[in-house]
Amino acid sequence: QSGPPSKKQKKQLSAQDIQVARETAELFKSNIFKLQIDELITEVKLKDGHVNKIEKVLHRLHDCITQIPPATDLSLDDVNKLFDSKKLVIPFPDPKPSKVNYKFSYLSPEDVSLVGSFGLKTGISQASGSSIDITLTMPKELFQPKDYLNYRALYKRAFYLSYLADNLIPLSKKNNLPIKISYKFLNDDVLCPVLRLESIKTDNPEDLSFHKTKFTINLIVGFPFGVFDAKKLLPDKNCIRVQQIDDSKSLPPTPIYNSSLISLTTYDYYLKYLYTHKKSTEAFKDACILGRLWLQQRRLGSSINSGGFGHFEFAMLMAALLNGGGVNGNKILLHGFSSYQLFKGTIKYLATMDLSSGYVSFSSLIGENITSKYKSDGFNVPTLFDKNVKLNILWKMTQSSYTILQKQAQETLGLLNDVVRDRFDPILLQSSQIDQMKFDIIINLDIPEDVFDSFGPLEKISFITFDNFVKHKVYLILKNALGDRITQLSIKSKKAQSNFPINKRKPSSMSDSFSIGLKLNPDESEKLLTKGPNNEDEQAGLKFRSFWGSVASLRRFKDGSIQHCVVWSVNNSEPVVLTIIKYALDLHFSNHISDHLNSEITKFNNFLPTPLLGSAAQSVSSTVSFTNLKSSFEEMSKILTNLDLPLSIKSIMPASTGLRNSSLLQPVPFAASNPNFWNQVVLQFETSTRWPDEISALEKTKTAFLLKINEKINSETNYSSFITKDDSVPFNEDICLLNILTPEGYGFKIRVLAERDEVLYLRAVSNAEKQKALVQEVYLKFNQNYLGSVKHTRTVSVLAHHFPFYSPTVRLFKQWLDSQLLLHHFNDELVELIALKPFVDPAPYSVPNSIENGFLQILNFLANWNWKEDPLILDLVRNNPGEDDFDLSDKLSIQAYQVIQKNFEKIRKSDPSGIKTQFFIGSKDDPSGILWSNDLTLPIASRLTALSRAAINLVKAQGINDDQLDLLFTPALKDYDFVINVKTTDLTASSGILPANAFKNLIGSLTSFADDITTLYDLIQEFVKELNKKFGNAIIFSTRKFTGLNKNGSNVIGCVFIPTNLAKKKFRVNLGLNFKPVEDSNDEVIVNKEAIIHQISLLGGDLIESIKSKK
Amino acid sequence: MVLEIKGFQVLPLALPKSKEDGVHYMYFKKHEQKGGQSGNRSIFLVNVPIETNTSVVKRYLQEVAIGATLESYVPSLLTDSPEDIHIDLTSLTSDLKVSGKDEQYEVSSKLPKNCGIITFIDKPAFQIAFNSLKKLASDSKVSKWPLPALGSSHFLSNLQAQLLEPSKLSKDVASALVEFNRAEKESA
Repeated sequence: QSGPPSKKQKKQLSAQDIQVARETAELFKSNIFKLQIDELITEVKLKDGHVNKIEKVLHRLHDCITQIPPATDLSLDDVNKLFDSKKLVIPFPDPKPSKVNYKFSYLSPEDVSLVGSFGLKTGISQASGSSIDITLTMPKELFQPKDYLNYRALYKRAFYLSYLADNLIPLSKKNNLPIKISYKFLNDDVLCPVLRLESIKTDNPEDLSFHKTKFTINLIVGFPFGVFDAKKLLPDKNCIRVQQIDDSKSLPPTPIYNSSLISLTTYDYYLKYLYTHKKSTEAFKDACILGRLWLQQRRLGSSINSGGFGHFEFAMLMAALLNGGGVNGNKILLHGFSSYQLFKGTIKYLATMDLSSGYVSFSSLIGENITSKYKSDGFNVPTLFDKNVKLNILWKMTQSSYTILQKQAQETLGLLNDVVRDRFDPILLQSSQIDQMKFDIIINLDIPEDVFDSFGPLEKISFITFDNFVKHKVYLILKNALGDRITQLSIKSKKAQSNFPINKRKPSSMSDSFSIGLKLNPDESEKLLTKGPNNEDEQAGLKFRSFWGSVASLRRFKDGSIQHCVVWSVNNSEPVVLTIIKYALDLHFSNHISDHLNSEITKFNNFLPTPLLGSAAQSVSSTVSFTNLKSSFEEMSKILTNLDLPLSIKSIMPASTGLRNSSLLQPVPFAASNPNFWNQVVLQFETSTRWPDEISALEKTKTAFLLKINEKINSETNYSSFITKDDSVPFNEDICLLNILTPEGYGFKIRVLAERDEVLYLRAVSNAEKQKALVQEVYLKFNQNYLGSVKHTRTVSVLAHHFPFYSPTVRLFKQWLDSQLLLHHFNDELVELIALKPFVDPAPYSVPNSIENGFLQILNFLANWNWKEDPLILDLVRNNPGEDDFDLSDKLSIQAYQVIQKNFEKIRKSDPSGIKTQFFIGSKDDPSGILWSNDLTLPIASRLTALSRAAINLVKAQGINDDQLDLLFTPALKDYDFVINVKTTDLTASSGILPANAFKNLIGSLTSFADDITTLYDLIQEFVKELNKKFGNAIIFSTRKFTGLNKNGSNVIGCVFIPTNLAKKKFRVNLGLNFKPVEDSNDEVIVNKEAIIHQISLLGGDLIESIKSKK
Repeated sequence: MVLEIKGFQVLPLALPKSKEDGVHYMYFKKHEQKGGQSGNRSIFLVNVPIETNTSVVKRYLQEVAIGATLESYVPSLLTDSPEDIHIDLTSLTSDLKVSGKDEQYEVSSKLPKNCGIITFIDKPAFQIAFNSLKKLASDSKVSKWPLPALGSSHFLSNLQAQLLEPSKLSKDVASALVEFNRAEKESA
């Protein structure tokens, strides 16, 4: 029995191990999280002083309320005359009552209670201030059973509210409670105006002023619990009777009205319900606070315009889940759970259970222990149904806001399940407030006046507001039109106003401006075909044609099937999705509405240079030009491999931006002025023991092979080639590269990697004594060019495939860096790694699927990241959906993560403020974290951070329009000590860029190479290279690497003297700087700025237009 | 005006088109070599203007020191390099005595950035030059330093110089490998 374990047993054991490991990790995380939560909860706790002050205020307010005299049996006429309309107007809901056969009264409220989070003690301190909800329940005798119909109860309530306000004004003054009263639609519900009390600062010491607490008080007038027959107010019932032309049709249900009315009876009731849960579940209160923070960071809230799911709804759901919630009524949450577990359980439930197609039914009856149940067939509206009250708690949500909530929960669940690193920050501390990063495309829609006509009486009773009506209608049209091209669709009113003065019946401005936010499905969004049903399915076909109208057509597909479909045309800058939206809204919403629709996305897409290619327009994420380059590379590899050589070729590996879809300019044949025209390629021969054991001879041997290949290529193929010197590895002067031009018009630079290379460089490092650090850098350069770039190209190619918008995004980011004269300071690889951050680790946002979103997320990351303290560790392996998320074979493991973390700590130990190495980006490809950033100095790194901050602040403050966008891409030249304006020949077309305002057919694409290819190179880059060699120790030179992106071959070189070298120095032979003697000193010298600038002007000669110094 | 600093004479120079404030200061002293073959015929220069080569030095001397015939000008290898120190990777990776590089390279690789050594054909030639320069320095007289026209043609020829001629390259490679084989055999 006790023999060695069989193979099978071993396997089982390891599965068990994994289970143990999983639980340990979970427990460990829970503990860490607990500590962080405790700290957070203390941080957000309301200040005791403020709470004490507010309690005094509430007492005094209560006193005032009790002093209000009753007023009874007033007719509508009396009521209308009761107040001075210049000072106070009754906030009657639309339509204003005209003839009524009932009376209005004010009697002391049946009950005054503190409700909401302040009542439940789950309130948190917020910089913007928070509000305290108080309900005043109207006495039962003010109502008749039929008052639930036709706004009657709401009219009575509106009077009650204004009478309250009218009396509170003098009473509060008398009682030394200086307040300003205004109306507010609670949670954007126009049927529920409340009084908003704000403290006024006064000089009278007797006055009880509370403005410092930043609290406001909402006085909510509620109805007595159970005052109406709840069954009549179910969501599918009609409670607003309007006359119809055709009486035979039944009136549509009025769910918003019904739910709003019931809600008004439940404020106090639900407080008690939640309070019992707070009592029975120790961590309930803390979990509520976590939920609140989580929602708030994501700008989700109870109000209609924030999605209709806020901390109240979160708490109610949590309470329901403590009583069941599973399909069989099993409990999802247990009373003994920690706040972390309660929070995670609720998030998991939101992420995994569909509350729109299905729903949760629970009962709020206290003390009965009625089980909550998940039911899979629901009403296709988000539903959490309270059987006892007959209210759908989620009544303010829409399909659209529900999908957004669900996606957020799914993303957070992913973070909560991350076993490798701590994700507390993006879950609870970082806010995702900028819409441009939340969505991929934002469309602004201004509704022209004529559309208001379509908001008829029936629409009015179904949707209550024009706002809801538009949102609903646009949602249905777009959802149908876009199908699975999108994953989220948000429609928000831009002008939604919920506060208004008490001398107005409602807010003054109409809501006529909307913002539509879309999250795209990158695999579908750019498809040119909208496929419909098969021709045989007549009914579906009819529906399809009636939706798409004239653009629908029948097509025969390759598999022989005939299907209905719509074919869209491409435009360089307009995403297909936008074309579809315009068409669908014109057809179904309002004719010519597309004229009132605009989006920033086209502006961003327009910013990317158009390649000078013969082919038709292409969408922004098209990779055709890259694919062409790749096939040329493969063709060339084949030819090289087949050459008859003394040592055969083992592999030819791509190592260039073009071959990983990330070059700023798209590869265009024969465009030799493109700085990325030459594609680096690393060639390895079959293993041989005969490579020399000395670095120079080794390079010479490689060159001998290259010469052989060169000879064969030029004589035996239709390719042409030549050999150039290479200075990519300092102090290795013998490296030669083989440059190959393919007949398709592309260029490849081939470098040879031998088995001995790394051994020799490492030997040099170990033999180096004083200059170890410098020789280490030599090794890094070798590693970059021969090993790192190959690995990097492989990794990025895979990711660029996985994330279709990575390629255009990284290209735009590079363009931005270049416009700021920064790009040439960075390795392309480093830039690409930075740009990968939002794709592989976007929290608190999600993976960007447009260049606007991606670009802004990159800048936002750079603006907020603290390189000095935090290593950026990227997991560059994508897990396939459906794979077990615990399969760590390829993903970054905890161990690998910790190794990288330790490497960072080591580097910071020797360079605490990051003067030498500011950026640290570790990944599986490069655990050292510094392969691409080793020589990136603090001034350049800080400039990147500063410019990103400025850009993000600009976007936050002013949004995005053409001017702002231009500003983002304009360099801040005033920051340089002097600026050299230079000019070379126009390089736009020869870089493969279609010049602005030019027609493609007039320019014509390039078709051959120049006889001397060097004449197409950008001389300015050569100039800057020499400047760096000659004066790089005195000045930091910055320029645009892509002169072709400028007009007429112009460019600038920004120059900043390095501050540390400006001070006087003792004369030394090896100062290396251009210096002059200092008067009255016999051994000191100082940098000779004037002579340097003069020599720069001599060096630049005819290239220089002017040199402007900072005054 | 400072005339001498740490044993070096201060020589003010005006490069083409230079205005008064753009004066360049070069520093020089007699180059003393331990047992060097050139035997005190050299001047050591510090802070040499950009793009200085043998012909530039020659042209300068023709103006200020007629008769001072130049043998060679050796600039520092680092002058047109972004690095501050020179590293010999061969000696760090191998014990072989490969003598591929000439003597001038050896000198050049040891000089600090922006320094150079001018050597004259004989002692009298050196003396003429040294005296003339000393005179200029002690008078603080600004002399004209010639510089070829640079700008686009210069950069273009730099670019073209990166293209190597295959037959010449073949020869270089072949002779370097012969030399390497020789050294390897010797050490075996």
